[in-house]
Amino acid sequence: MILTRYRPALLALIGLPLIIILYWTQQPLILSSFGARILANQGTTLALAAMAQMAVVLTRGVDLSVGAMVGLSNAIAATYMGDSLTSATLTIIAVLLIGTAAGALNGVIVAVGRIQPIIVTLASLYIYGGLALLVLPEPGGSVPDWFATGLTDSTGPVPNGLIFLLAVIFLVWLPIMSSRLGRSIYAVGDNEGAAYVSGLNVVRAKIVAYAMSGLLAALAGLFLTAQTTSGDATIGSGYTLNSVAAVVFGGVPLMGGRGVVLGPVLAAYFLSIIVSVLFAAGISPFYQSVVQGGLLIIVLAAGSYRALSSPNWLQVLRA
Amino acid sequence: MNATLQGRRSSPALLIAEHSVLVAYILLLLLVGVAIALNPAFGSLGNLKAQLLIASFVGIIAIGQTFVILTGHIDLSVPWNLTFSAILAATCYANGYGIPAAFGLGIGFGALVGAFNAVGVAIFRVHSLVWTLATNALLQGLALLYINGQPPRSTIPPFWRDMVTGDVGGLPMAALLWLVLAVLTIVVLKRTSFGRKVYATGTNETAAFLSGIDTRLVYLTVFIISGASSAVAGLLLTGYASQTYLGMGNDYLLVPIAAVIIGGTSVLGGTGGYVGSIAGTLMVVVLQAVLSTAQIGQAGKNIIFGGIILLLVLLYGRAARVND
Repeated sequence: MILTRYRPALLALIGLPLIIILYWTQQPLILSSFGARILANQGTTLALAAMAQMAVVLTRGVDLSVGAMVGLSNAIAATYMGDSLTSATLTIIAVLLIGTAAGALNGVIVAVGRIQPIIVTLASLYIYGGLALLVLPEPGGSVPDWFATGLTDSTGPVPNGLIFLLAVIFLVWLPIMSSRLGRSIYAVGDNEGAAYVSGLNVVRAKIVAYAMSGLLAALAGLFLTAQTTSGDATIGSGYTLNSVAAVVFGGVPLMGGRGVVLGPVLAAYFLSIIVSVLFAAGISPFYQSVVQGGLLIIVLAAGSYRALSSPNWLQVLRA
Repeated sequence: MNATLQGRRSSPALLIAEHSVLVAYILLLLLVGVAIALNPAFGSLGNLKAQLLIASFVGIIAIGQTFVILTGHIDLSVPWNLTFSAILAATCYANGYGIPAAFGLGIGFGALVGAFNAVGVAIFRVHSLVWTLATNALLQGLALLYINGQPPRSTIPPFWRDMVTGDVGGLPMAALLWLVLAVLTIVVLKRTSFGRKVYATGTNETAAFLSGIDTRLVYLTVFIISGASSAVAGLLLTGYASQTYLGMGNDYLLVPIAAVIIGGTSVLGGTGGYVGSIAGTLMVVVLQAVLSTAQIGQAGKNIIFGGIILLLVLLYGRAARVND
């Protein structure tokens, strides 16, 4: 039962330890509390962005604006946090509210406006990216020390980034996804018509999924800000592709309706660490896009082995 | 679907949806009117020619996107396909090969990328949205590796520029090329069996397959057309800017897609056509020009542009209700 449930995440479950071992052979320090902190800090932003993407993919949609929302949150946080506890707290609350609202707006246009998610989020990618540039035209800004170290340091041997991520999973993701509302998100992705006929509120389920995506992207932006201790309006651009890659790699089908959050989270760490491994091995950083894009293509192609092995193309078409 | 249309025949939203091409051309005229009212110089012959030149880059990419979107897919690999094809062609020329070899290499490479996209979509059955996004990242990495992080070598001869901006019968050469390709596209889509196969595949792939259409071949062709048109646009842009540069394709992802969508082609596939895409192309180009003359910075431009695209698709790009 548990095995079946987590089978989609198997690739990431196996891949992550392998890549950490590979990293360890190059950098023995990685298996210390210091190393654990570095590993956690590298992957947590993408893990949160991957969860943001997954919330929407579950409804059989896609959110191309995840990267822009990460950048917008980063720009707002670095510009307005200041030094005082009050201004920082207010900024954090504002970032989370803006992220949720921006996501919900995507959801309203998709669900009520009945426009294809790809068009909506492609357009809002420009809007949120433009807003980020308005807030912070040039890279800069700063964050209070306590905010940066609070999120990126360790508590005992445990990296705070990991604690932050687990808190988000256990306090935000799992309660929502195991509620009636969360079930309806899965149901809408599985079969929208059936969900509607069964009396589920399809519109509300979609809006909540997109709003969650915005909230999680804002959390990713906040963590990224703590990690880089500065702001850059365009810093999020890579997170759209990588969040989709983590979702695919984590065994969540793009057709929606299925998937466990563990898959994309582990896949996000895998994809982040693989870049460090290349770097540690002295391979040109220009390979980063090649490896990430190439890996995604290989996983996508490999995932369709059933289509290739089916003797009847008609069955493939109907799948 | 038919029942839906009959049930809500009187609604103005439906009227707009049914005549989206006409609406697109009316909006275009309004937009040109606004542009001239804001800045009378916009209507000058020189400026109209300059706008037409820019429109031909967008319009040629929109040819590929129209074919692909009509089959119900999308090509997100345009930015780096365009850039890499242009860099390859420019490097080929710089190494002493002639223009025919350079252009052949650029367009051939673009077509090859298109074929690669089609393999993922048609054979591996991966949605083009993700597959072409991955292709784009892969091409970005390969392009950076190819030029080793240095700015690409740019020794673009003056006649390459003349081939793009030169005046023939009052029209820039690039616009003339766009005109020829546009007529060809419309004829292929409306008057050939291949065109009908594109619409059939986009409407219902399984039904198309059962009626004897090799849908895989349709995907292969439309993605090759898209890849080649990205490369052609890259070659034109290289001549226009007299150089190749990283990121030269960045502005050519949303704009042509927006042109196709607001031209009345459905992202779900099967309905629309290139006549609408021409109106859409001219609209987005005029819109960008208006935003530029209003001295709105890049950030504001992106916001307004994205917002207007959303408004336009809300006006006539809506899907059927789930309860229909």
